[in-house]
Amino acid sequence: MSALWAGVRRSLLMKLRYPDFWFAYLAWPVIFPAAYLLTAGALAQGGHGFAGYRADIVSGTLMWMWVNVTCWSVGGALRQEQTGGTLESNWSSPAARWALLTGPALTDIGLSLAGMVLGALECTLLFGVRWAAPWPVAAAVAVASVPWVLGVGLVLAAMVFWAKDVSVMVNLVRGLFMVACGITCPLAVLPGWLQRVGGALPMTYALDAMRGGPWGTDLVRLLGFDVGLAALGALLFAGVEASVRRRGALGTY
Amino acid sequence: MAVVAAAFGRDRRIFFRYRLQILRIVLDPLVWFAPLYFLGRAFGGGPFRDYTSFALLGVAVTSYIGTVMWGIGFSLKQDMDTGVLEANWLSPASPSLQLLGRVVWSLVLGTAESLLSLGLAGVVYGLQGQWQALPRALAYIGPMLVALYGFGLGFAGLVLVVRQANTITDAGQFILSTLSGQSMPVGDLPRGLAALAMALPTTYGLDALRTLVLGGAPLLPLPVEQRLLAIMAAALAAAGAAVFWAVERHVRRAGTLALH
Repeated sequence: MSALWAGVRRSLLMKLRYPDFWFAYLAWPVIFPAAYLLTAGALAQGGHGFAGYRADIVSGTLMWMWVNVTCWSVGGALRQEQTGGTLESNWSSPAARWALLTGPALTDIGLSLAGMVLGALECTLLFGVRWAAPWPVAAAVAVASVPWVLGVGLVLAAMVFWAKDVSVMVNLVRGLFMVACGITCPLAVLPGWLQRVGGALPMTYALDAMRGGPWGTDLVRLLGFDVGLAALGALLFAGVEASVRRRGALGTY
Repeated sequence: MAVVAAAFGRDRRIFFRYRLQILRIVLDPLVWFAPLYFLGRAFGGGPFRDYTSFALLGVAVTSYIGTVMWGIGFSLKQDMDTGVLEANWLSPASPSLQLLGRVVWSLVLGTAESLLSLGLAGVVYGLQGQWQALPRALAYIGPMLVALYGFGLGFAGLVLVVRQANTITDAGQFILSTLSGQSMPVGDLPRGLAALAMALPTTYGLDALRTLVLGGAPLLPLPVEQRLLAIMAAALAAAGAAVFWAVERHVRRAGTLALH
């Protein structure tokens, strides 16, 4: 537990050390949805239906940002340690490796989730967004999404060990969520084959619940993804990490 | 010349060493264009004659913003993290020339990315236009790129000062792309943002390209846009270089080059 806490503390210290911390968590979650809102406004030209559509865009873009930040922070932190030359020494210490990884990961997931909640509040005030889902449902979706988001992060961390690169892996994973989950439009707008791909991704159900879909069914599906992705992430990471250690490749990048 | 070539060769070698990067370059345009494409479809194309082509040209031109910010500014941060920045800059080779080599590589990579995004996304999503007008558009794109890379030098200076580049690079790229009219006409932006947009070289470069290839009325008469772009190119190249040199002198004197 002390290693986990040390990981959380180190991650927080490093984040607060840089001046862009506040911008990342206060301004960026408004700027990103705002760009798509402006584009949708230009396309709608004041037409009917745009007012109700705002919440769809904000929920989609914020949820995607959360996954994106987690992908970068979990995989990116490992990559940074690889290139900074501290990975091998830290991971050769007696501290539990799962704690070294999940400490910073949970810090990032928590901070970015808080940033997204703040972003949703800011968008509500600035753009008059009217949410389809009541706030307890939105909160339940957020809580139920933590394990699968962490699972995605762990899968990426495993890929960083394997491929010795983070940007490509993050782009592939976040790209899949961006294209197939309908972050800026209802799923029905996507072609049939892409809807089927979206149906295999947890973010689709999180967005469906946030957009006024059958939240009970969506939450049950999210819990299924939680178990599956968290287990897959943990297993994959443990396997790849063991293999990298055996080959003595922990310090190479 | 040898320093520029060496820096260019180093960045090229690093890029091809991680071969999966090529996959990223192929997929990126398809992925980043998807939300705009589906947004356009959700509104039936809105008032645009051909929103897909309009937005695709926007993505292709503004991809240079990302190339400049990630390729120049963020790469300095990577040098800081790996601990080679100070060693490289203490060598007799001028840091400015090392950066110039990086700029040239970034320009080559950016052009490849931009053409690929037009070609690949054009095939997947459908792109139309009067492509015989493309050579004329180079008279606008050329000075736009000089201005953009001038800005990139100044941005590299900023990275040396704040020593963290992830969010400012990511958000900066997105804000500049949006303000340049990547996915909507600049006239549809709120008035304050439209005024900011009119101060960006990418707004005019993109507007001229769209006017020549897709037709329609430009924001300003094209000869005026060309003159503005030439002025911006000279001003931003000079300002960017001045900022970079000033910051470089400052961090050397303060002894903070190795800190990150």
